[in-house]
Amino acid sequence: MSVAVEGPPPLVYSPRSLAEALALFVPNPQAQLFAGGTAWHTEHLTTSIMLPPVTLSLHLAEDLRRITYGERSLDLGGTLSLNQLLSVGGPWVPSILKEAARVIGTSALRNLATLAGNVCQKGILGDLFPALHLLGAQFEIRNLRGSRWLTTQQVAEEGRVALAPGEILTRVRIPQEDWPQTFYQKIGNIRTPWDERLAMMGLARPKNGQLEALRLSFHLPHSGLIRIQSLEAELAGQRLPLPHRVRSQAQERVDEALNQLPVPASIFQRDRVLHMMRWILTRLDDD
Amino acid sequence: MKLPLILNGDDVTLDGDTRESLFTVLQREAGVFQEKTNCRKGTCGRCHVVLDSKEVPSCLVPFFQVKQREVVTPEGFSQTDEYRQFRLILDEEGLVECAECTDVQIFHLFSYLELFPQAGKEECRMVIGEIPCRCGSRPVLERGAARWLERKEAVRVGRR
Repeated sequence: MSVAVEGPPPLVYSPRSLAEALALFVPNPQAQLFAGGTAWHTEHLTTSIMLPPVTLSLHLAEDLRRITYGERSLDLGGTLSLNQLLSVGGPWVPSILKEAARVIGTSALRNLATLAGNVCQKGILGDLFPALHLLGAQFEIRNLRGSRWLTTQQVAEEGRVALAPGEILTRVRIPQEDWPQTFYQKIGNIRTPWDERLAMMGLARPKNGQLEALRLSFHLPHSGLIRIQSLEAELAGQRLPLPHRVRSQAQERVDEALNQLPVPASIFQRDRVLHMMRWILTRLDDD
Repeated sequence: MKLPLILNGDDVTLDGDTRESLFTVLQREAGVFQEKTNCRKGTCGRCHVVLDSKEVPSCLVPFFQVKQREVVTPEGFSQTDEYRQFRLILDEEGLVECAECTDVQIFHLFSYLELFPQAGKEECRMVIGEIPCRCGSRPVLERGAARWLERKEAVRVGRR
């Protein structure tokens, strides 16, 4: 029976390991990586799958799916699927990362979508990236010559994980820290227009009636990640519950930050961010 | 390009192009999903298959990736004992057949429960909600999922 797709088929390689994948870049420097393919397809929606002329499909590279438990950090392989991440039992994977992964797409999509794929797509940087940023994660990028590490701060500044030709995001390293309180809320889902989505999250460590550490971030699609580290520093060390005055000042700081965005937040987004901020600051009373 | 794979327990060889999705090839070469159109975004659930024990939207899986892998379609799943047992529970809970979503929902929910046997009520509700339909069968599916998990847990504990 005839095949519906016309034109020369793309050249597809399916390396079985990272080393094999990196070696394939030598004769094919223009090759593009294909992991879960979920974001790729939605961007290139046609009856056939629009693959690049030379494609490196990473679905057989088992070593890119490894989870390594260290004393001080957790290493997650780049092509680990989101459901594999959610299946990790115990306290190893921070709950905020699981919460962020659980609300991405549908469960069937999460069997395909990969950790690195999610982080590398600029359009969906609001999914896992804000949680990884709060957790202080780092990304290992490898090529044939060696590896480099990117901090989430660098990625936030650039607005994306910029991979040079021949590079692969191989691991995400998450430092093991104790965050007894986590807050996560995402507004909008796969069917919501991209620019109406919003993600808000926080990590807090109350100790002996004091707020030992706090990290907060908001992600608006047009403006990217908003994190006010000076506010976090001011709130750290405060006695709990936070006095009304401190909470109000914090709210004002967030409001100011929203006012200074290059692309203004919508009334709805602004309202939700401030509401979430109020909610987090009130919940910090629960030691 | 001819690729060998296991389709619903049978060794088959299917012919397709690198750029085609598994859905397209299954529809043309194996005669499955004949009456279905899908969203091509992986969100409607109508083209889901189980690929190596994991449910995936076949419209997003490139055909070249299924070489020597195991694919189970909803049609294949409906011939299994597990389907019949799960279906019986749902029927007892009062499932009314919906032409749009019943088969898709059962396949989707069952696959999820296989992957996450510890799923709670809220999680099941979320998973059922992933398949868009207004037929009103969601509460029945939720009750059925809870009973299925109870039964599996009882079997697991009994084996200890």
